Amino acid sequence: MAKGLDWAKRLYENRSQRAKELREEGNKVIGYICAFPPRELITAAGLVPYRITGTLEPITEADAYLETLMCPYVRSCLDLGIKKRYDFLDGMIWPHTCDNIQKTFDIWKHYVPHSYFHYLDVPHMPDPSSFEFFTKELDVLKESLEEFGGVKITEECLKEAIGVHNENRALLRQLTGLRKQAPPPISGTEMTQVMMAAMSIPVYESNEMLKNIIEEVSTGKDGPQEKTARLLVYGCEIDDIAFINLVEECGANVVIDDLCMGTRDYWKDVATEGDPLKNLADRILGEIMCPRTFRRSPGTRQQDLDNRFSYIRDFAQEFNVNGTILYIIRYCDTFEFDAPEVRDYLEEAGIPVLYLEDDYSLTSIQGFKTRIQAFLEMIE
Amino acid sequence: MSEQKNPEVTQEVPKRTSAKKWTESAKKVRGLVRDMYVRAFTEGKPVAWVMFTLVNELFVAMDIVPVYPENFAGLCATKRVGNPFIDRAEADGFSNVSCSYARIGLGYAALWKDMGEIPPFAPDGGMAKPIMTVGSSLVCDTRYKWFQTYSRYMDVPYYAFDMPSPPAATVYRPDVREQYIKYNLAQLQGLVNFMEERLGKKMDWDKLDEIVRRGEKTYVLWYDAYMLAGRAVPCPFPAEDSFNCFVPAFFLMGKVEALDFYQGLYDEIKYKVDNKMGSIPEEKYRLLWGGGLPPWHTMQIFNYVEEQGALFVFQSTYLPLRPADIPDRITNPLERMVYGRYETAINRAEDDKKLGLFGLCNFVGLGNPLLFVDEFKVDGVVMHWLRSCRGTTIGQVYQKNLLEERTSIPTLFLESDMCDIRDYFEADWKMKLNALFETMEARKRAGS
Repeated sequence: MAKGLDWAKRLYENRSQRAKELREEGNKVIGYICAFPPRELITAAGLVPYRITGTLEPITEADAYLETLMCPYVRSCLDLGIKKRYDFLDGMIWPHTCDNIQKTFDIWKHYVPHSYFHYLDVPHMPDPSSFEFFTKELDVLKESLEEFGGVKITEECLKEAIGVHNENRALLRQLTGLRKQAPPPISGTEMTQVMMAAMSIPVYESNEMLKNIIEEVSTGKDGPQEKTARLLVYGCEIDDIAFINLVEECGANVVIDDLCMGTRDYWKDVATEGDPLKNLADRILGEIMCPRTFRRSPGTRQQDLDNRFSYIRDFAQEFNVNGTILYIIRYCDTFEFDAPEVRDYLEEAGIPVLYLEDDYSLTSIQGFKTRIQAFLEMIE
Repeated sequence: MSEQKNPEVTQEVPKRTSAKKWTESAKKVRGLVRDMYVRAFTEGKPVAWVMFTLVNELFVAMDIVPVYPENFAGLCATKRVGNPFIDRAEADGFSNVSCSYARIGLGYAALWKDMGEIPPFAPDGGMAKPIMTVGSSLVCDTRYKWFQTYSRYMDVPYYAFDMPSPPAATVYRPDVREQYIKYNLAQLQGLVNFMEERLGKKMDWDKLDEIVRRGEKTYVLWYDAYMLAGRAVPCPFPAEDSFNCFVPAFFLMGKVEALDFYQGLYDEIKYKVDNKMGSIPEEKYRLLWGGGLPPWHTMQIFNYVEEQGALFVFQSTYLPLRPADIPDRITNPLERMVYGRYETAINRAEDDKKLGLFGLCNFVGLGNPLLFVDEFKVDGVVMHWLRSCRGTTIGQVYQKNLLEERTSIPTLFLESDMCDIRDYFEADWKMKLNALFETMEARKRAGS
């Protein structure tokens, strides 16, 4: 059996393999989209969480069901669903995170049948009433999973699941922390493969894999060569190595990210004391730094910007970054509105920024190559 | 941003882009719109820039003059003066697929800041300087994100609030109902608190109650007028009039003039229906505008359709949902607003049930075209893909598929944008519309 990074790479190349095996063994696999659904509840119900993604292959079926003037990532996910690539899923949890995802709920439900389907409403506001509402939403989801799984999710078992998922996040942070080194012992491309793999298997196996990888990269594995440019990549869904690989091939070390399939997903833990549902709500609504969740301004414009973006600047400083690439998928409205603000905020902090807008399929990859090379020349 | 100047409404229409108005009521709307902007300058009351969210009553009760940048953007598009604002917003890095209402709104604030005065080409004197901005999550994400970004150009406190809708699958559960109503109520109360703090005065709840109840009557008249017109053969109130006449319901709700407007509209439509007075001499084809915002930059296209003997007898974009019966026992006006909204969600689920679509049309589009095809004797459906509006574009293909599965009428997609004229190609639209007419003609000849 493959170990370490090779294990992750194999899973990345055949993401659904393990989920299919588990299903054949009698397990039920629950798909979900985006970083917002609580994997902990799925695990606590004795089910296997599986994060669905898109693909860079051309969209050939979804255009008969969805408009082309919308998020190409969501279109790609539906394309795979229509092509029966997600037939191994027993159910799907669909969160209200953004317009593109929310409004695709009906369409997925109609054309990609699963025996279980649950819509999770996630408030956009961060008020006490929003947290209370969302905790109740999680309770409704819990009941629904109990009914589907035929189990009772006790407080004890949910706390245990939270503990295991916290360990998963801690391991991912530990691995990410190693990237502060120069050169980083793991490339951005490899890290993307690790993230994708970690989201495709049960959390217990994911933890085992991550421990294995940390051991491998900490003890002498040949890592990437040191480059002058150490970059942060900011954006939403990057679920393929192509873009990060391009950046690294252009001559940079990608050492940190702020992505949905990256630190945004694992940087903060769920609290372990008190009501576990409330703790889940606190993490998802309060700690996942996605522009779809509104942050109330603490006062001045500068305070507002600090409240929303200082963590990116802190990432840049902690990981000794000398440039940032904003990779924004077109039609991703909340990111599109934040992007000029993030660009200006980082530039004012002295961090050069390259702002790229793409259609997710990377069809303009050659054009990007030229721009990235020019950017790297500028910052070196 | 400098102090505003006294507005003079001197902007000349460069070219007629709007459609002919068929009803006296629709002819009144332009004046109401102009008044909205002028009053914001002249009344001496505090001004708020507000995202439409079914809460106009709160502003009326607090004596705040709400100005709606969404409406202003549409007005700019109609006058064909929107693109300088769009260019300015894009120069700051806002994407050319971000909402064109937002790009115009942001570009307006940016140019005001750049020029030190209201841009002279702003129609109706422009939008007066606000003391607050208010956005919400109703309908789309842009509605709370856009205003967050105004702080680039002006230092004005911003409040955003949630207005979530329940999915049909759980809408009947008492605990879910309680959860949604409680949350929506708390969010509205948060807005009231913000307004009170900003103005340094308390809400007059009795006054609000009177305004909310007036709004309820207004809403029913709005709904009744629109449905009466849609059913009528011949139709006296085509979609282009309907696209004008939602304005008081969105932007003046709770005011006496809105109630009077819809009473007048209802009476006018009723009279014409009773007397079989239509709009065009012969309704060769009855069309439904089945989704997407209209092309504000070229509303005249509706007249082109009419010249071919077709009439849009209804539009399901700005659609009043079947009104709720709000019991008198609910005496808190905020509760009445929230209760009414929840009940309309149930009404929508009930309507979908009748079509066998329960739980399948929760969030797509703004109205389900299938609801109107038979009742309004529709021969064809036209939908509008908007390059910069996910809120009213996503789901149109789905709706088209449902129409194809359940009816035999043709559906046409047109593509452009609500405000950005750069996305509009008139020849392409006319060619597609002509093809639709040919299809409908062939169907008629075949007797289907």
